[in-house]
Amino acid sequence: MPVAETDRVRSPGLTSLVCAAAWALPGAGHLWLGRRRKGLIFLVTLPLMFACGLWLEGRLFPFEPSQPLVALAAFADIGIGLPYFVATALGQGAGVAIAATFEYGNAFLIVAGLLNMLVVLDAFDVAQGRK
Amino acid sequence: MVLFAFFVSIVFAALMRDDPREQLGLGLRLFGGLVGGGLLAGWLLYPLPF
Repeated sequence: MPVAETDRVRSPGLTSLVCAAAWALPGAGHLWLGRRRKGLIFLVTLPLMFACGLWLEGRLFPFEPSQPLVALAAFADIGIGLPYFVATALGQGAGVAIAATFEYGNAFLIVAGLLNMLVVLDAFDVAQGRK
Repeated sequence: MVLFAFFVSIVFAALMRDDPREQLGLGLRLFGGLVGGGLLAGWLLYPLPF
């Protein structure tokens, strides 16, 4: 007997995969679930916001358990997914503390990550059939 | 601040509404609220000496 589309989408394994994709590439979860317009909006907006943060000399914070606020900022930064690792691999995000735009850059980087976490939660709701 | 408000408005409008017209309306209101709120807060805090 063929599995119904709603049952397939609501299966825990697929939901986890959708959430992982949504985290790794902003908007990918919505694109996967057929929400093309929303997915494209997130796919363009969030990496652009992250790139603006790097352009404004923001810092990608390291995980330092001895400094809880820095660790929390690092957790927020990594919320953007793949762009975080690409930027790190390219040596971006060192941060220039004396730059006038340093704190603005940090705000862009942190908020881009946090917004992508909200997008992941939304993709989870869609995958569960709640939206 | 305007750029930040622009990005945040787009994402929240897309998250909270499904209809494009409603998204546009909410996005504009959020954008106006963020920029206006920022200007108002700056204006109110200006006289403070610290």
